Amino acid sequence: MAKTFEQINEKIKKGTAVVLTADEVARLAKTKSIEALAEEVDVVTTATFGPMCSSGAFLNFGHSDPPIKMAQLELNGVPASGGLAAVDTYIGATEPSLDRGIQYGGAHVIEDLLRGNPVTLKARGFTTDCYPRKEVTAKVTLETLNQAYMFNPRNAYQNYSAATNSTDKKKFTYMGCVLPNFGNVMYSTSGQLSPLLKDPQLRTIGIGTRVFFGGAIGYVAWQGTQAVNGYEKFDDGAEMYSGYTLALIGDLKQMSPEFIRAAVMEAYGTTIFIGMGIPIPVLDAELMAQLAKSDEELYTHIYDYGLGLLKKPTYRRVSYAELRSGSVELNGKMVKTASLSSISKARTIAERIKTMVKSGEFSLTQPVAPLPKTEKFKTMTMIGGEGI
Amino acid sequence: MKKKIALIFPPEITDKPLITELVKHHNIVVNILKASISGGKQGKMTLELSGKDSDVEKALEYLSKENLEVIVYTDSVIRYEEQCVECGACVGVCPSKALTMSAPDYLLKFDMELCVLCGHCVKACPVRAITFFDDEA
Ligand code: SF4
Ligand code: SF4
Repeated sequence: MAKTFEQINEKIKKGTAVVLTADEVARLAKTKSIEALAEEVDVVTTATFGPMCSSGAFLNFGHSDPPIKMAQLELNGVPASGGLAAVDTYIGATEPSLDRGIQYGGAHVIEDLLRGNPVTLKARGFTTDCYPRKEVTAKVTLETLNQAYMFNPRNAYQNYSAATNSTDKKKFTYMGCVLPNFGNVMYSTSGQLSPLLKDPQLRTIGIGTRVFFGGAIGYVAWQGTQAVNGYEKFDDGAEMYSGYTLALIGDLKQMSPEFIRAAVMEAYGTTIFIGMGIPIPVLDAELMAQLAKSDEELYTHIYDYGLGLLKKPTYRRVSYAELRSGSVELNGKMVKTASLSSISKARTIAERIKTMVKSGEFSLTQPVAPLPKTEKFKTMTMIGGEGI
Repeated sequence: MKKKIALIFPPEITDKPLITELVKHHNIVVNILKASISGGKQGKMTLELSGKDSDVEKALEYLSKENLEVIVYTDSVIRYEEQCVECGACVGVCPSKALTMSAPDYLLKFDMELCVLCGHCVKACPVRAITFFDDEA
């Protein structure tokens, strides 16, 4: 029997909703039928905690007196955007600082703010009659900011490729250090806990969907950048969804450094760990069939990150269960695997959301509008040569 | 027993056959993990000593009497404080099986016995949760 959002929210209100994590449902599905599970379970919680470069925060500093229209600004030496109104800015997570490079970047400014540490703002103005000030230096904390909200253009990657390296040199990438001669396989999706792998057709996730974001309540704002509805069906009947992403918005002031952490990828750059998750209402058995999928039934491809190309050669399909086991077979050899996204943190988040939903602190939202479908990923049209 | 140690020598002792002494007179198997020694300068060598408990202890005693600094590594060579987010970036670069993360809890485990003190994990950790004990000293 199908259920509606309203019926499920009603149960949540009454305290009778059955809420399980995606890990628990995957385990139960080994002994119970999908139909029975769809009947019994009302909400399944999903989560991920991994580095997500396309992240950052909008901040408003309040005005100085006399006021300034900031044109160039730095926060602890990290350049932030001067392209908004007088004292608004956007600080991007991957922006390196002028003095310390990638060792301290936008992500660290965000983490410092979250931890309540004072951050030094230095700005130069574009003097006008109403904004006469030329320069300003100020100490700001999360508390002194009028607004501070994260707006992450691309989070919650549905399913990301796994990386290996065929060359004889170490490659420092956003997937961490990929060792030469197929020395390791790095991956970064939370498998059976991954939000967009559990509702791959986005039946319950849309614009306005309430999510767990960095320890606070956040919302799906838009389709994430570079999102595509990737789908593959293999000869053995296995299916693979990939490529969809979400743009998320949430109040930085409510977030916690437990779920938002600045990161430095060796010889690559600054990035930020984001913990997020989505409770998914079990509308029917069809959705439950996806929600109950285990790491054994969820796949990605292993790609060669050694060549520095956009179109990377692919080696093989691999299940998340294989990746989780610590080694996978590649070209007849067992190769060590390592995850960049934290399994234990993702589990903590899925459990946290479960508690929040059960206690009525987190009710489910029906999307305000569906997320757009995108079939194809466009690439850049370059002017001039192809060299680097 | 196995012990990992670092020896920091003043320039004048670099020529002394310490290793030979350990091997010949203390029945110790010495595995040199790292060495930076050049005549006339302060040198540093990271070693793994293995042998009978009593022999290893005697060897350490012998070294402590020499004119050099001996650091005996305990589990605190590498620290992951509350900083660690259990991501696994360090596991990916660890050449031995010293760092592992596996079912059921997927929390980072460190086995000092297997560590070869290469330092790859220190650089790979995105949140700087690992440091060498002697980097601090
Ligand atoms: S120092 Fe090297 S061997 Fe030791 S734990 Fe780190 S990566 Fe592994
Ligand atoms: S790389 Fe750092 S944060 Fe990640 S598991 Fe290793 S010690 Fe922990």
